[in-house]
Amino acid sequence: MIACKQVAKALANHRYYELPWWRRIPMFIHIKLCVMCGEYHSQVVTMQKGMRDYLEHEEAGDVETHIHLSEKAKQRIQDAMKKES
Amino acid sequence: MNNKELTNPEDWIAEHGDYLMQFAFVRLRNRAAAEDAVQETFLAGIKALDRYDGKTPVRYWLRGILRHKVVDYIRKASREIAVDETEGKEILDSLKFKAFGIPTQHPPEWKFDPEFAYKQKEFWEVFYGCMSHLKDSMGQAFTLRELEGWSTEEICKELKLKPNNLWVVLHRARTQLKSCLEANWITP
Ligand SMILES: [Zn+2]
Repeated sequence: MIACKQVAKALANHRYYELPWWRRIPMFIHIKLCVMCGEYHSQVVTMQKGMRDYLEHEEAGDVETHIHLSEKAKQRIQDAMKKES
Repeated sequence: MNNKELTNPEDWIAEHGDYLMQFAFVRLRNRAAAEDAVQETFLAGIKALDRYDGKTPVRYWLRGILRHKVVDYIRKASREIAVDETEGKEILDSLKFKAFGIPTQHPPEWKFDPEFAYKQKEFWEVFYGCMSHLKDSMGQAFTLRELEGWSTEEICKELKLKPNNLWVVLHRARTQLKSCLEANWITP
């Protein structure tokens, strides 16, 4: 069995498909068998799901934030655009 | 009429300014840099308008330009990320991985139900705030990996990071993001 430490590093890196199959397969068997790594894996996956969902909301433009272009920046950009066109 | 004929650069700031600002800010975590990136995007958009085919909405076309500006900025701003040799060891110890694969303790569980939170509209505002508060030393790599989908090789090359240390930086970012969410998200 490969060591938990190797599995944890690969999980944190979160790019399983960059690994060759002969490293990926033992890793996934390990995750199935080891409670510890299984939980770490599920946390990384849950976080990843959050990132994906965030990107979908970003795409739809429906995330409400307090970040806006300031009036000063708008004015500056407008002036720069006038010069450009 | 297609998207190209319908668009007028004079309306860009009002119609897309805030959207692009939010897109840039969460990736750069710096107001001045984000505003500059948006400005450069609009200027580049005016120059490139002839080459815009009008098939995608203008917002997404501009966002495509902005994405390049953002990455350029990250590239320029990146300093060598210090990863202490002992940090990786400490993380592994904190996860209580034991030799021979026998665990004695589990990673700390979520203090809220993420699956439920992901379905709440208000959650994303908190998520956005927490993403914006990551420190550069972890935020840059995390942004390139999770928001831009870069490979290990690309990230390490651009951020001058040892491939062997990327996992430490990503773990750092996830841990900080998780505790920020736990501190700021109140399940309704
Ligand atoms: Zn394990």
